[in-house]
Amino acid sequence: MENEQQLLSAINQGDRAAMRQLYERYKGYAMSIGLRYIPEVSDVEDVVQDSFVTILTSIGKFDYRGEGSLKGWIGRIVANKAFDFVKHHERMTFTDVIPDTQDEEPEIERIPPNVLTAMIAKLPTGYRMVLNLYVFEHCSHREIANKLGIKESSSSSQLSRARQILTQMITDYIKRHEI
Amino acid sequence: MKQEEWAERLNNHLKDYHQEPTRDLWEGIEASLDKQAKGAVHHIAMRRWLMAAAIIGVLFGGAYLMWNNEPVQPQVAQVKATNHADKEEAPVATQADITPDADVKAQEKLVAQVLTAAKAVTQIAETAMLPENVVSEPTEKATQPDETANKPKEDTPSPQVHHPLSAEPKAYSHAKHHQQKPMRLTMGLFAQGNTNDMNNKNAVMMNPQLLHRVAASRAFLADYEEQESHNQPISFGLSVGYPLNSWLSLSSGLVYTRQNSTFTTLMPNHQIQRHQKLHYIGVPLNLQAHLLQWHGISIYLTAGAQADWNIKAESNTDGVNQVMDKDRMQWSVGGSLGLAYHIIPQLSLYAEPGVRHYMDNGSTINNYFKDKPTSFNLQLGLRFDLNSPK
Repeated sequence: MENEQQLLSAINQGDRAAMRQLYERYKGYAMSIGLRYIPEVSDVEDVVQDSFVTILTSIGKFDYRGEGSLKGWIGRIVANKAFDFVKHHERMTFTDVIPDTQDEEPEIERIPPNVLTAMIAKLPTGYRMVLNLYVFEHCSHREIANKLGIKESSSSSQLSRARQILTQMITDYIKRHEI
Repeated sequence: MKQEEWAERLNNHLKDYHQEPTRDLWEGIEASLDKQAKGAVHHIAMRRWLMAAAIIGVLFGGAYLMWNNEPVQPQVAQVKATNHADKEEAPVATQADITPDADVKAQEKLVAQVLTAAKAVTQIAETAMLPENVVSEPTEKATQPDETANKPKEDTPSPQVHHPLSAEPKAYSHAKHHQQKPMRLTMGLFAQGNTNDMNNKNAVMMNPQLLHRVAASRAFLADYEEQESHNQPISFGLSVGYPLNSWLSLSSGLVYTRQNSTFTTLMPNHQIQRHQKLHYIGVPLNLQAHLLQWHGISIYLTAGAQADWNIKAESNTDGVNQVMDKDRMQWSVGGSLGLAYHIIPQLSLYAEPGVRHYMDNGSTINNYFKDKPTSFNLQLGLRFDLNSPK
């Protein structure tokens, strides 16, 4: 199996087989990112397809910085495309409700990744965006506030609320499935 | 559990999660790539076609203008046809001056024919701007009817018919030339200089450009003098003229102007000199009115405006180059009297002495245009007539 650099080199020479290889290697990863933003699978697949077209047409501008950098770049493109999709297709609302604190939180690791991803996708749009940007895109609350056009304090409270709702979902899942 | 810790755990749990799509997306991706590739090629090809079409359009447009500006041959042919074939179409105005007499009807017709031929000759001479050897042919032909017409004059009163000769300077008749228009596209190269003193010197106190330097050096203002010396600007340009009608034409083009100045600060036992060089690119827009033509020499009036952009400003103080702000856009208006000599039909040498006024652009850059806003100038150039007669 070729490494990222070899794959890049072949793609830059216009090798269509190498392009397909890139798609096959990272399509699952791209889907998992998309599914955290968008609940509908068909919409996620459209976003992933569009993302790979962008990736393959602008790959010449990508500056390779070591193994893993290509994966990270692909992930950012998919996340941005998914974010734009949600922004255009869903209405984001943000509340400043101070969340209730919980004494115990169940272990996240007990929940299968696909279930947890689906739970995140079911969060209200605003909470979902803040959670994805903070947890998976490693954005600060200031960056999130700038991106979503909200206050920095709102970003923090939205994340807390998202955590609270997600925790409730996890608790319910554990009870139902007795795991 | 702190928020950061919770986020890290959530991220770690899901970062390696992959989910396969329910359908093969590669077909759609490949189709989009092919479409984009075709679009890029099509875009490049379209650009090239558009460029080629623009060049062809300019060539055909120029050829069309030149083709439609061919006045000479058909008129000459028409004169011949009028003289030989159509004797009844004599100008009525000339006949009104002749005393109607049955005996001299033939002579009247001959005179009318002469007048018609002479009229045609003057049309050819005025509008064609041909070299003399070509103009002389119709003139010679026209004199033949004149000589013939002179014979019967002994017995019958004949009107004083004035046959304007091609040797006489002819003033433009605007109404006449409205009908006989050579639409000529002209192109010219020129050089221009102002006719004021080569240098203009004055003593300026407290020149703001030098003030900072004075302050830095803590020079006393006693025994202190500043002088400015502005060399006349020199311009080179390319102009293109487009005729609006038979006697008016519009011209524009590109002009490069360079203007040098020297600023001298005089202090006891010390002198600081700063040399300033300003480079301008200008676009003139002028209206030309043709007044007179005679033996290949034409006289005309030009008036218009020009906008100059300072594209480069250089400053050198005592041998050290310095950064200098560019001047603001410089507007000017002017008028001149032009004199052109046609070396060959397609090429003329011209001189346009005139007056130009430079408007204050409000900048702090001192230059010739601010020092002498109104000045005489002289433009010399070569003009190409793109409509070359056959």
